[in-house]
Amino acid sequence: MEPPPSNSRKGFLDKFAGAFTCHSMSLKKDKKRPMVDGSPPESELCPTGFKKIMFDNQKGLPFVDILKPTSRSDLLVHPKKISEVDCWLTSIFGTRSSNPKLFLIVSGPSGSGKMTTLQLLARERGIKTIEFSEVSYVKEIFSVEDEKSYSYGEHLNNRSQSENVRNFLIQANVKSIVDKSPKNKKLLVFKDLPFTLVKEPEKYHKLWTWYYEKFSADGVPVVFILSNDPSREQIKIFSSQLRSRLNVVEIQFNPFVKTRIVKWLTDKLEKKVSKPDIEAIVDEGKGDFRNILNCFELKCSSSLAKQRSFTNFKRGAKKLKTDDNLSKDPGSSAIWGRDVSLELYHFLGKILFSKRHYDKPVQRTLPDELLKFERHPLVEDPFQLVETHDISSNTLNLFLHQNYLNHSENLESAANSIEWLSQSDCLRDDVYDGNSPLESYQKALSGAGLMFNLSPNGPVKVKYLDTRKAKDTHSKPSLISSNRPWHINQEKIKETKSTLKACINEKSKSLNYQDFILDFLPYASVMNISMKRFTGDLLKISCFPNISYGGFNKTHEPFVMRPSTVQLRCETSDIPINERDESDDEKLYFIEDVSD
Amino acid sequence: MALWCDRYRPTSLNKLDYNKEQADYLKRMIKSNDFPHLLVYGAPGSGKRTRVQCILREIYGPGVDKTRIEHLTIETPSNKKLELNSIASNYHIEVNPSDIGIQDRLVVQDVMKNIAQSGGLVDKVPFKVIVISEAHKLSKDAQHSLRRTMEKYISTLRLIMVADTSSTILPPIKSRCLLLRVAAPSTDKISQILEFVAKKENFDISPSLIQKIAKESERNLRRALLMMETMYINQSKDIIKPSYVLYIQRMAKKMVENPSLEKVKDIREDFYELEQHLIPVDLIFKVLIHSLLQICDKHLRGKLIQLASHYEHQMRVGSKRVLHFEAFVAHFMAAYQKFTEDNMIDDDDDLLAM
Repeated sequence: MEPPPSNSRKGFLDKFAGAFTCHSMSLKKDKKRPMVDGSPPESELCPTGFKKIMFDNQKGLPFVDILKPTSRSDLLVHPKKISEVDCWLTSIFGTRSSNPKLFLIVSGPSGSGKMTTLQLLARERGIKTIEFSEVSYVKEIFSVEDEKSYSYGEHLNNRSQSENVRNFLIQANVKSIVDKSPKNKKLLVFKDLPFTLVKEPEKYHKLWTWYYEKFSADGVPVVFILSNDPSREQIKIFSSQLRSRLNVVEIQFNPFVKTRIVKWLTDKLEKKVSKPDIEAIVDEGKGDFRNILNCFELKCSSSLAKQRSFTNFKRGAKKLKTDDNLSKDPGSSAIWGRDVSLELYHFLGKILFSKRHYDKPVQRTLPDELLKFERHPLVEDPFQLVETHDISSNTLNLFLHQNYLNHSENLESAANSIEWLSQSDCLRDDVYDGNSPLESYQKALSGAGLMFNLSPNGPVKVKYLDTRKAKDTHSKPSLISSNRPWHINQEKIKETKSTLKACINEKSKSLNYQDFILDFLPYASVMNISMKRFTGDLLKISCFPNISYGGFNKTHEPFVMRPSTVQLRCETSDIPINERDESDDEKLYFIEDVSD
Repeated sequence: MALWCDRYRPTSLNKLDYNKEQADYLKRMIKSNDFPHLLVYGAPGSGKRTRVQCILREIYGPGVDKTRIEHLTIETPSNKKLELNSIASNYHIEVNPSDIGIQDRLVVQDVMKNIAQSGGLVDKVPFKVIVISEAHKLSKDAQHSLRRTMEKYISTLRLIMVADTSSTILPPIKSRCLLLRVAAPSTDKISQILEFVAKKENFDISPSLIQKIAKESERNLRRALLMMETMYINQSKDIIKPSYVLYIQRMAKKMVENPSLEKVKDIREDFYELEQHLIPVDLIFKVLIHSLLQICDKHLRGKLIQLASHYEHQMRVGSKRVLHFEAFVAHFMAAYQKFTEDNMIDDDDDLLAM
């Protein structure tokens, strides 16, 4: 770890150093850092192992920084990936070819150690990493260096973003004001992509080309770090032609394997935390190492645990103290999950469990024939409730659709509930306009409809409906499930469609896919003949689970061959018709009609 | 080795087996060199495409049969590239714009503009032809954009739209086309054709079996031929129904065997499965209701039809098909459950009365 800056008068260099060592932390933690300034943890006579971790943590250092790997052997990333990055560094900082690999794209899910690996390897070579970010660039480089140029900084702010990027690239290459280190000891890192890149990629494509042509001999190499949805963003940074022309290297990181993290953590924490606990947290983190470490910090800080006991998570807090197995209790796992989802699920829970004041009497205001619609007053006003969460009506509907069955009292209440979802869905067809005033109306419809109908006669016990999804053992039953199945379904539909499209070849005579699926495929799959048109993938489309074709009774022989006028010729030799039997089915026959 | 339904496909207007008057009429029209835009519609398997191919052949001669696959790429205003297959000969091009989804308007415009710029290749025919298959799936946007271009490029271009139904085609489009309804062949006609094919293929088949196939095919000639060929290859006497029909029928059975919340979830999975196999949802509805009508009590039938029509409509308006389908399933199951429970009480009452 880079020691935090020790002098109070911060130069530029230090400021930068500060900026990128703590890249992985929240802003709040960032503010705490100056407190430990001047007393680098390494110089202290500090305890070792787990105690050291706790000791450092109390000084305000987050786990993520304390446990940051300091050597290659400490790095959890797959050795192959490390060597790939290493290779690239060697190629670009050694003697360059005429066609250097100036750009590198490192992609992977968040918390898979992309930045950490890069920084570690760069530091080994004494190379500085400089991170581009709009704010630091404008404010820190220009305004703080000398007060006079503050206006310049402001001026910069007004400029188009691509100009800023361009300037950043130039500054980094010119004997720079950013830092005094020589040109061949620097590395530019783009972590947050400039947001105009999404809008007008061509501008940036030009910029990259320009940079490549101008600085290919001695320019500072550029690294892009992408965390979400790699395939999409890469297209935007570089078009596919550009990627090959500019010799862009891509390295893809994978999420960490669970067993490796567990082992590593057990080593680090020296069995102070029980193994099931570790596994529970690691499970929840889904390979996101940063998230996992933050969870541990949360767990280890006792103050937080106390706080939590005040809130509703009493069970969770108890489990914490006794270090019991966490994974058994579905409710507590939410604590370790991400905040966003917690909020969302809390919101969904309010709809699905819809608490009512059962102690208050039902106001008999409705006429007799409508008495069945009378309910105890609701705790929360549904129309205000749906406004509190900024979720699109589409997503809300999907989530509710996935869950309403488990929460409904009986078939009738389920039918009434889904009725509202259906109503809300067909309220408008312009699904793509997020600002539509109908959006909140839709949300209100489905929210209120479900709150009214799900539990007409009192709280309903959540049922875990037995589904066929039981095959994957990873997912334990949870109170509220996500809308994933619908999306999986959509993906699969797309997949089938592309298979179908791919099968269109020179032989096909029609583009009418519907006829193809409804008439040709179901029969072709039963015909047991091999045709170029019907490949295995295609035939799968018409295969359904647990449906088999029965009733091929070969005894009846409903089709009687006419003798004599037909010669059935096998490819190799002539066989009389009478000798034909089923074993010959594989061979190709030509039927020749001699009679005409 | 071609399938029978391909091998015995008529190739000229003279050889068509049914709707012969219409064929003659078409022939005269082509001869008179006054060829309008066409909208060919009729039930699946009634020979729309065959007829279109015959028309093309009549106009251009055997050159239209030499087709090739072309991959078109179309760029949207937002720089997204759409890929699309098309079948083209020197004289015509066939596209299926609904394949792209909501962007089909672009396909229609783009392809038409390209084709319209180059005139016909044959002297006596100054135009090229665009065949639009599955035209009933065209979005409103696409149809509106068609309207203008149909008039603009009339000198160099003719459209032949092939649709399963004309009800989804906008009236302005219809009024610009000559409507050709290709009626599905009658069951007797199908039997005749099946007999003819059996004779050509040189095997004997009992008339009763032919009748049975013709009846099961629901006047869909393509299905009838495929059915017979499958049965012939498997040497089977039993009618083979498409797998998805069996699957949906099983769904129907599940719905009425003691309805419960689990069943709803189970049927949702089934529905996903069907969707993943690209079975159109309206067909799922249709088959499901047919089989439910056979199973359920006659007192429930009215309710069933009412529910189905309501939710089928909702489904076309809305965007998430599963919601509406499930609403139908849940409602029907609730109604069925209530019905059976009521009846049981009635029975008890009857017993007591006795």
